[in-house]
Parts: sequence; C-alpha cells; structure tokens
Amino acid sequence: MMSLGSRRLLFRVGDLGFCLDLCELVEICEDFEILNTPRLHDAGQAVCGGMVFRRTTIPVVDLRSRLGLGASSPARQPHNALVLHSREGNWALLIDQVEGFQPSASMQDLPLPPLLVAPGWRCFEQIALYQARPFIKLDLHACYGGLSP
Amino acid sequence: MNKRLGLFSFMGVGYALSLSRLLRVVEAGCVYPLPFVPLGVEGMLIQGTELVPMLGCAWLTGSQEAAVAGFQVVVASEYGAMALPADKTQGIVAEARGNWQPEPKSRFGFLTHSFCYQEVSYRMVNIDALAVSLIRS
Repeated sequence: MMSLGSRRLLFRVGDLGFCLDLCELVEICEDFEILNTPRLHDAGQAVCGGMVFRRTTIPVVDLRSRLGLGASSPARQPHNALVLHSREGNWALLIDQVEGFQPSASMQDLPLPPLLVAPGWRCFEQIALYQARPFIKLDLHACYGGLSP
Repeated sequence: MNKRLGLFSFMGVGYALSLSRLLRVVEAGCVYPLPFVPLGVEGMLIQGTELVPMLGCAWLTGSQEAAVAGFQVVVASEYGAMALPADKTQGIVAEARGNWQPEPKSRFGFLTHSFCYQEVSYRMVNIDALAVSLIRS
C-alpha cells in the first residue's frame, strides 16, 4: 500500500513551482477570506492574517511575500491555501493554484549547486524535477516558525 | 601543448574562453526563475538531471539593455557548471593564432585580457573569477 508520505503535492505561486510531502498537508482550502487578526500578524514571518479552520483561527503565511516577491492580492479577495501542521499547531500557506499529486518516486531531488545559492536566509535546499520541470522543495519549518529573513 | 580558445559573441561583443572549460553550446532553452539566487544569476536551466545557473545578460555585458540570447554556452567552473548567454558561436582557435592585449581596468574582474584574432577583439572570460564574482554578489 502506498503511504501518504510517498506522494507529493505540486503547486504554483506565480511562475514558480513547489512541492511538499503529502504527510505535511492537512487540507487544501479554496476561495476563503483572510481575516485581519492583529494578534497573529507578524510581518517578519510573512503572516498576513488569519483564517478560521475547524473552529480555530490559524495564522496565514503569504508565501509570495516570504519569498520576497511582493505581497499577494488584498485580503478581501478569495484565496487558496494549504493548511499544514507543525509542532505549534496548524497554519496556512497562501498559494496561487494546486497543480496535482505525484508519487515521490516519479520526482528526482537535486541539491542546489553553489552558484544558485545566495548567502543568507532561504526556505529550500533542494529542487525536485518532475518531467524535466523544477519544483522547489519547501522547508516548511523555515517558512513558518523558523528564523526570519 | 598549444591552448585552444572557444569564441562566441553576445550583443555585438566578442568573448573568448579556454576550451578546457567549455562543456557544450545549446540552443537557448527555458530559464526557470528561482528566488534567493546570487545577483548576477538570472535563473536556472534544466539539462538532463543537472541544474545549471544561467548568468544574467547584464552581469556579462554591464548593459541594462534587455537582450534575448539565441544560445547558451555551458562552462565548467571550480564551483560547478554555469551557462553564459550568446548570440553566435565563432569557432575554436589556437591561442597562438592571435595576440593578447590587457583589458582596460573595469569593474569586470573576470575580463582581464582581450584576444585579438583576424582583426577582431574577443574579451577573455576567466571562468573561475566569474564564478567568484557571482558568489560574492
């Protein structure tokens, strides 16, 4: 039997492709509104607000902003997000669209060559290739809960 | 043994590099963007199962003018492979067939000499110095 961890979710933010292990995913949420929740707001962690998930308000991290690509569209627009779990509880990652699911075995993980690495903070160390297209393998701990850029 | 050079041009300027550093020349393919790359890197190429950093046009030429490369010259540096933009490839020539001139002092520490061959000047690219300039950018 195939375990959840042996499959990956592929998704996009702008021109960039990303992937993560399915075992890290709680749920995919579409067309929700971001709540202005001052107690959760943390620009250093790119937390842009909150969302209600299973009767709890959880922080929403703007991946576009985390990657230094500018903030996502205003809070009142409907958004797509991945709800993920961490030791501190669930949190949501804003994304543009889900591309699909693929077995991990169909992807090849490659380390970043030194000439693609700028000094300083980053939230990935590997690129996964799927059908000759690159998907950034996100380090979710670095995205939320780790050190800030 | 006589050293040989690979010659190419980009945006009207000729460049030369040691043939021992030239891995391949390919028709321009998709350059994938990537966040948090060094300043002089435009993105990456996927060649088989290899991620190849693509040098930004401005880093090589110093010009802010937008340019589309027809070819990508893939070279080997001490820090791994990288690709340079090119419009035309102009063959391989033995170093002894031309002569050397020092480059006027410029901000391009990786362009130290010009190789003059058949009345055309080619700026010699020191591949390792280019790689270091990227790492420090």
